[in-house]
Amino acid sequence: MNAAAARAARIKLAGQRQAALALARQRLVIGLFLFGALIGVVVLRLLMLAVLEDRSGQGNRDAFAGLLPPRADIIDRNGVALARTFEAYAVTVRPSQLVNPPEEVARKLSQIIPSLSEAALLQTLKSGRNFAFIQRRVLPEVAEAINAIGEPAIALEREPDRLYPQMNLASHVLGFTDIDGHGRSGIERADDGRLIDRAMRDKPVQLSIDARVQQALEGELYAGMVKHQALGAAGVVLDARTGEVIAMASLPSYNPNNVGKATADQLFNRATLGVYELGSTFKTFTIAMGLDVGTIKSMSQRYDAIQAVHIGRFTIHDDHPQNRMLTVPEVYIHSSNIGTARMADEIGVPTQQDYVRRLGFDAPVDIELKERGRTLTPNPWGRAALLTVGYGHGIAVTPLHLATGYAAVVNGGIWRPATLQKVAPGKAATGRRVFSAATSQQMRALMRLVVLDGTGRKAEAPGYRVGGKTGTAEKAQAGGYARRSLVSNFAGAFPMDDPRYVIVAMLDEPKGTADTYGFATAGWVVAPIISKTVSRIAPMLGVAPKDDNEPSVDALQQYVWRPKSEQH
Amino acid sequence: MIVLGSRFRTLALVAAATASAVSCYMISLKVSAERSQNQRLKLGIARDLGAIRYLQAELGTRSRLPLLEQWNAGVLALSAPKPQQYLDAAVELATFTGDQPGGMEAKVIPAVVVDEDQPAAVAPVQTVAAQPAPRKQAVVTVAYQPATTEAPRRPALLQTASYPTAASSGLLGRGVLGEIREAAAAEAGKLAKAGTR
Repeated sequence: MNAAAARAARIKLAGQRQAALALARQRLVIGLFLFGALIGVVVLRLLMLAVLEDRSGQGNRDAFAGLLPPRADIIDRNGVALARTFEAYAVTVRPSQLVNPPEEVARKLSQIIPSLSEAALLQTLKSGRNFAFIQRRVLPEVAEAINAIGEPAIALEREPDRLYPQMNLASHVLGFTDIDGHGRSGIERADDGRLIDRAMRDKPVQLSIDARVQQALEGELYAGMVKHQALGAAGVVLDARTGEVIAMASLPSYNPNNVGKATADQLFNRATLGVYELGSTFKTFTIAMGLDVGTIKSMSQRYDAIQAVHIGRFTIHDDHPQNRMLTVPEVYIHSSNIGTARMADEIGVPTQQDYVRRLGFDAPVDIELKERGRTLTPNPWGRAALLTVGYGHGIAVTPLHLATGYAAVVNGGIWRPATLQKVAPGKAATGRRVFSAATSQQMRALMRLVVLDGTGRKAEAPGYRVGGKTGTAEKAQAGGYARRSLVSNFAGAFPMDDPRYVIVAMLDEPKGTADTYGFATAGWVVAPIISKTVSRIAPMLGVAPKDDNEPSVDALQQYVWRPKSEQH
Repeated sequence: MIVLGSRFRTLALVAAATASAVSCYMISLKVSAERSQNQRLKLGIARDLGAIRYLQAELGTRSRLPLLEQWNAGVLALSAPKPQQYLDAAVELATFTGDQPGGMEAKVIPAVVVDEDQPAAVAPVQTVAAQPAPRKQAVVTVAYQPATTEAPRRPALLQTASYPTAASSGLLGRGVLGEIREAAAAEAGKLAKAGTR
């Protein structure tokens, strides 16, 4: 090996070492970065744990957990509370573990809760049982006083307590809960699952009910019921366009805060569970059917109201006999049974059955409540049934059925199910068409005419254009009808030029008074209730009063004959 | 300098490490203090919300609608406004007094202001609120139109200086109004001054 070759080899070796050194450095830097990154991650994680994350074990949930009610509130369409739940105290005792003498404890307890008798308390305390309730739903002050007795066997337990701040108001709509907190009636029962659902119970259930309207309806119905010594009353205010129930009342009502004291009659919901033969209010549907299928071709078409109609063992008479040929508006405003029976005869059984089915009168009323009565329809549905159903006998439905039916008549012909849930604007159920829009238009004018010129004059609420039909039916009893027991009702809508609300009121067995000249028929006893109620609720519901007369009604006046003395 | 640096290097490193540890601990302490305060605040809010809920329920129960109706029937006797009491526009309101001679030339005084010097011209708003059991004639509906048949177009919402005093109309005579004023003076006087002037 010569020197040149050796130098070259040394140079080559030095290059290799340099390259190896550079590589080692590079790896060291990479290792440094890796360690640095690792430390960075640890520091960041520590920061996250210390600053951002809550490790104290007391999260937001705990602070507000006490606010989550065990059962959701119920509010009306404007947010007024109708039902709420609170933690209440229940006083319990373990008689077997009593330390103090029972006589002394009983004496002290009866001093604190005067409604409990000392003797009964003593009996409970001496019973030796393992557990007994002394009093449920006691006030905090009372609970404190009981605590001060210092008897270890007496314990105060917290339990959820349902409160209905409005007392009797809308009691049949709301219903009540049992001691275990489950709904037993009304919305409490129908919506039980939703009300106790953990995910949703912080949000209240909003009903379509308007508490103010409900109060007005209940107040006026109650006044009418007391005045006419009726057994009961029912009323419905329905949004004609959406099917929302704005108010629904059944009297006598009960206090859901104290259901134990309520009688079976008070608990009975007359508006959805009670079925009644509603009489002449049904004539509206018969005339609408006639107009719709074309058997009534013109308002001037005349029907014989001179001869009573005989069918089988029945004879159909008129309650307000006119004894002449009547035009369609006259049949309606004088509420002629004979005239309507003849109209029904023209319509025929299959068509009538079809309309009754489409109006939902063959099934329990379509609403969220579980308390729904089965309707009664004729069986067999022969010609006799055809004629009697024509003027509202032989068919029994609930007042709410009647309201949904009237909504279909006045709102342009669309039937929609009734609902107790608030419906957002434009979200109304599609519904089904029962009558044509033209029929609906004609019926509105006829209904307005009844209030202006017919049996429903006393239902007029000046400015609010009420229209409707009275109905008075004798109550069915074993072997026929009770002449003196009437069901008087009125079904109508307002404002009649563009109906927005349907109103139905019914009195069960009203008695005539001096100012009604002894009459207990709907025109005398129920129509004034409608007038007063509408005057009160229409402004709340945003219906502006107007004095003009509707031209469509003026056009109908020509078909109504009046004696010389009444002409104007 | 370099010697000094190398000598105190360890000390400086220890000091830096201690300082950073202490500052980290301070941050942690500060955060936990803030958090516990936050928690206390939340608990306070929750407690207050519970109390608000309780009070709302109590208020709702005390002012329940059936009771209000009972009071109205027994004492206040307010009734629903009549259709004529609704006015569509401001122009209608202005012409409301048109049938009174010289009515519009006079200065318009809002009805809610009670003038101490004019015994007869007591505004209906005050009297209804303050008088627990007004006589039937003196009952004024919610929209403040006095129930009178003698002067159907009486300007109930507005009073004009030239308007004949109610004493001369007979219906709201001096006797009734004097009685109302006496009862109302104590309660309504303060309210009127504080609330409307």
